[in-house]
Amino acid sequence: MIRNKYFLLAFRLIVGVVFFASGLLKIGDPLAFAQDIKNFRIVSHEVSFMTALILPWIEILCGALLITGILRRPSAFLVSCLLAGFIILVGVTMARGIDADCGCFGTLSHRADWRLLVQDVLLLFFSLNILFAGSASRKYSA
Amino acid sequence: MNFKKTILGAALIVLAAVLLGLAAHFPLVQKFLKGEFRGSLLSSDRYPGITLIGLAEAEELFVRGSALFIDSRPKQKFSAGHILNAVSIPLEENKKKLQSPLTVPLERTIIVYCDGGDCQESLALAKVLYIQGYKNIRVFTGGWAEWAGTGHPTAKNHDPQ
Repeated sequence: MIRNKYFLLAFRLIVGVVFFASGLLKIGDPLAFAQDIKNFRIVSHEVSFMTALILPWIEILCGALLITGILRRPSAFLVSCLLAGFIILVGVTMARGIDADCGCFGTLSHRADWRLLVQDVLLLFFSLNILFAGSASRKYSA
Repeated sequence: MNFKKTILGAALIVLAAVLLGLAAHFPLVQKFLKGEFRGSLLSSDRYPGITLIGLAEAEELFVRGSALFIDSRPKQKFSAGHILNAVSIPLEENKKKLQSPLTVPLERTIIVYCDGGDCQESLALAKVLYIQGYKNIRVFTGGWAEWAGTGHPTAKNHDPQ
């Protein structure tokens, strides 16, 4: 685990901005996002709809909290859970041969493929570092 | 790390997100509870020209001959078998295009289909075509599986366009 305070600050800002922007881009058209979720063919119609209403807000809140440093660990924990879920979802989708947009950034989304997997793994690495950062780094965190 | 505090904080964030999500999209939630989006996640306000149809209506429009059937599946699937006289417009090749590859008038009735079952390409292509200017679009939800499975006219390796 990385302990350098500057690295940890950079990780927080990167993950925070990515999640904040991701949520913001999806919030305007929940039905389109629900359709993106449905395209993965894993959850039901109703679950897709409810997830599309709530998930962008979780991303916005976690993003804002990571940027500001408030509730840093709970938001890093949630973000890590989400990223782990996204990685499994994309992996399963690729294994099943389903060609779907990830839906991650609203209309700016790209295909759920290995590049997205790499991006999610990298973000997960950042968020786990934030989550498990020792208390010593807290006093330096912005 | 205080795991209990972390979980509690995370639960608070999720609770806040649930409340914000439901409050911000309250009209949508109301419509959903009334059953508006049970068939598809399509807003009739946003896409008034798109309607979902079943086999009976698709058959009627086929017999009448006035509507154009569009196959949104990949080319290989189209070549292996499709609704007779259908045109192949694979979703993947067309979703980023601003101009439709179709040369038919914008007011013509268009019926889009995909595999059937839980396939989503037809609805996604219908939205693309709607944005491209077509305002009389039907999505045949039964798709290829239902059409072919009930013995309706089909063809192979034929594209009239």
